Amino acid sequence: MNSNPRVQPTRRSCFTLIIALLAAGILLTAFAPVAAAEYPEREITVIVSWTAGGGTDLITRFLADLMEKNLGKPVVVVNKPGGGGLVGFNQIAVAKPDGYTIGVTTNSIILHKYAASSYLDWRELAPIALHNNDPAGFTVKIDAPWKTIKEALDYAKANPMKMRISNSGPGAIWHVAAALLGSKTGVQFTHVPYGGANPAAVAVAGGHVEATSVSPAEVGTLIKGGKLRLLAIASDKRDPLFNDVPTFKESGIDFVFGVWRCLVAPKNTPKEVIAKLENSVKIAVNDPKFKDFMTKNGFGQAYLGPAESAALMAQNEKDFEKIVPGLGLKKN
Amino acid sequence: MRNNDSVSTLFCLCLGLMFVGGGLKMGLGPLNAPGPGFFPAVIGGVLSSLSAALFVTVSRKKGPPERENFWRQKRSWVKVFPSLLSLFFYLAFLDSLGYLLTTSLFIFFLLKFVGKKGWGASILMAVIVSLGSYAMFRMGLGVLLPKGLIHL
Amino acid sequence: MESLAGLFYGLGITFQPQNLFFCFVGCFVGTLVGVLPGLGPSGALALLLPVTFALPPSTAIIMLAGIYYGAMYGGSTTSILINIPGEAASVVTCLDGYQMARKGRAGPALGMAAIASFIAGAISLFGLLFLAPPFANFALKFSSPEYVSLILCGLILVSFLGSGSRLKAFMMGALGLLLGTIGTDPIEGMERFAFKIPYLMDGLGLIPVIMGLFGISEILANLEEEEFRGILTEKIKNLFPTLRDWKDSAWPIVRGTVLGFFIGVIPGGNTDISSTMAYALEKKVSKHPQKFGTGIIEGVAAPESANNSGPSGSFIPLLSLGIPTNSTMALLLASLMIHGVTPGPFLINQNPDVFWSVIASMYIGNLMLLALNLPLVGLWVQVIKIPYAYFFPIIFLLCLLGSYSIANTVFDIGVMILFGIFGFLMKKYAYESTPLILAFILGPMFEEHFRRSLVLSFGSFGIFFERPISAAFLGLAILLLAVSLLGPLIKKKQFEIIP
Repeated sequence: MNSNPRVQPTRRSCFTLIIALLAAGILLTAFAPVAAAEYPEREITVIVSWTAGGGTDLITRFLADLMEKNLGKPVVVVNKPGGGGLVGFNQIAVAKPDGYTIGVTTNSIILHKYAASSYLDWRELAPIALHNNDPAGFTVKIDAPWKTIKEALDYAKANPMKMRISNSGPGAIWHVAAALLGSKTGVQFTHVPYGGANPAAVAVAGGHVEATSVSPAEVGTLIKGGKLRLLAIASDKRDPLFNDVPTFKESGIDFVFGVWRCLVAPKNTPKEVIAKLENSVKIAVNDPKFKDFMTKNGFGQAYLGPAESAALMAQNEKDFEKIVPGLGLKKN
Repeated sequence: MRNNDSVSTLFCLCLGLMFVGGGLKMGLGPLNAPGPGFFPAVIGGVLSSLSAALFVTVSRKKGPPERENFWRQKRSWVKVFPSLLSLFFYLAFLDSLGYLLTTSLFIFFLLKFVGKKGWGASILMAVIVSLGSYAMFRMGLGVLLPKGLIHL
Repeated sequence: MESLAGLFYGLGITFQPQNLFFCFVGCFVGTLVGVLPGLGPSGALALLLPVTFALPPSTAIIMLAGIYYGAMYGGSTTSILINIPGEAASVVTCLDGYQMARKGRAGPALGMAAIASFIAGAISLFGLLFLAPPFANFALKFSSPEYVSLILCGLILVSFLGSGSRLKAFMMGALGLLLGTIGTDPIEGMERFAFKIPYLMDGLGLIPVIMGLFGISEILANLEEEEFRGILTEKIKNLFPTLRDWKDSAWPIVRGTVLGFFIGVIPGGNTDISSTMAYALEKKVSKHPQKFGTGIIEGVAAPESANNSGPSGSFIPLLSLGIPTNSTMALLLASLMIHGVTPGPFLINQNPDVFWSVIASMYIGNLMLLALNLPLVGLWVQVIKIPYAYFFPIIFLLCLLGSYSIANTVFDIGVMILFGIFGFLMKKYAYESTPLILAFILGPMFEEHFRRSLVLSFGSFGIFFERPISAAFLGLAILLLAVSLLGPLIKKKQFEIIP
């Protein structure tokens, strides 16, 4: 660096200026009042572990919008599909537990333990509120040769591994549901994984797979559009939206299985933050707009707070341990 | 280019083999349900093969290996190296010193010592740019920037 | 004709002051977001989506469309001016756009990008109007094997993009695919090459990698010069495309539009692929392929047309079947459903105002973009004239900020710097970064579809050849591969035969 004698005095004064600025900065920090941080201070990110357009995605987006209205800060939904939800679940678990990153989990998180090659312990996430319950279904293309569930299952039984059934990811709810159905009826399916319920449904519509086990609500659009046919529902009672579709029970198969969806946060998120979030969700699910949305689209409504959700998850773990390992879905 | 190409192809060859190894460890899986290791192993193999092929082609070429190498050229170091250092500085100190301070120092350094501008201009630009960008990103777009030492 | 009547109906809705205003807001915000590296259209849409809930469905869609188009255009602006693509679709625009800027022709480049985008949008919207039903069914025929073949075509095409060694381009493509595997496996979610580092489990961030590979490395390379000559190598020539430019760009625009439209219709066929393929196609059919990469207008007109006709194409499966073809469309789908509008064959009948206003808004959005950006070209061009000593620290800062703002972590900055160094080394060792980045983007998709194809086929590789569409793409890919590898050989032989 060339030293110009004419520049020297300026250099020294500039040096002084910098030192002064630094000192001022440090002093300001020492005396600056710490603003009481009122949660939420900024936008909240909600991680959805499946592709956009599926059940979890749509419900969460609607919920997020209502929560935003009552929290006063943006609530942004982000999709992180993959691994049947595992990718997204992991993302939630490793996020900073400050309440600004939350997500949605389903009972897939517990199913993974017994049905997938890797899993995240559900205790790594702190439940906020369970807000939905949906049964599995059996959906085929509209022009498929099977008009009833019996016809479809008979074909599948006679042709082991030939019937391809799509799901929203390996080890996730619809995969296990299909496997469970298979074991109860003595059928061997080939399970084809997709990133979410939406692509899984589209695959049936396009004729690339023979059936899907995702919930009726998630194939509603394509059914209305005349591309798919719902053959049976895995619930106790018939769905009001699909009145003419029998349950599996009615068809003689004791198959009742479905998903629940729960808003969660990373494990160590402060209790007050969780309480605030739970409150926000409670207000949102009681909003008539939400109820209307859920009913119109065929999504089941349910509600459980943090403690009850945790209890349900613990119970699920015990139940799944009994029925899922026998399906042989776990690879290692 | 001979020397350069030999070095670079060997590097790519090693990279490819690393992925092949990693992929095999993860498991290739059966053919009707390929596992996580399948893709990295296969593509790693492709990279390694291509690198080996190029290496062989280059070695066969006749001609003097060039001495002139960009690592040795002074011009590569005069401005590039300090600039790189300043980038690492930014990375290292952004969280601790905060946005305003780090950015000011960063801009100042680049203008004064790489751009060879005068003290006045450098300091002025440093302050303007850091305050201006802070206003634009933090207040205009709501992007959260580290507060560090200077709280605003 | 019914469609035209519908269009006028839609235009009528769009021209209401409220809708026009929000269209403008959308375009403006979109352009701003596109220009600032780090926030892509999906990011902006996601952020602003909640705002749209307060608006009636047609207005909301209009604004969203404005944001999307605006962001596409803004991304091209940075590609041309500072060689940093605003988002993945603008990567190929860097190749010739930036070189044109260096030659003092930033004005025509920017202008042609805007105009080509507009023309492509206008033409493709006609396609949308009249071709929706057959195309919708075409979209359904696509499944994983077709994607594999299509992406394979794209990956091989990237070897056509550069001017350097083909072998090295393939090597970089392979490396890009490998880098894309870092993170989690797309089907089983198993951690791969992430060494338990939470940040890496999401994979290397696309934005930091792009900014490092393109932006940082470019600046570092420029800094090697003794004098601060800046990026301009010649005087600034014209502000707008010349007559010659128009003549040269006419066919590229047409070809780019058609190609982009087709690929947009395919579910999952996103604009990244379409602009790449349009560029490669132009280079292949051009009378002077060697000029590509030095700064010719065709290299800007073609990809810009493709990535603007893509969205129109992708509206077809969305509106008629409710199938989103990319993440932005998925957001739009969610928005529609939340507003109580069910996309599908009944959409046109049950909610005609939504359907037609969407179509009309796309026209208006494109037009507004043109009106917004053309006057700004003069301003943008001035940006290049800033003395480099002041210019480069600011670009550095923009990159640093852009990386940081993605997830509020310096990890992204670290990745960016690393790739900046890597990109710099690549330049020195004569490797091109375009194949790497494109393979990096396409890799995860490619792998997912490939593995799923094998599940669908019960383990047989035959599925790729038995299905007609897949076989067609595969045939094309093999043809391209042959030409790519044998081409230079044949030329060499020709030279040897002729004494």
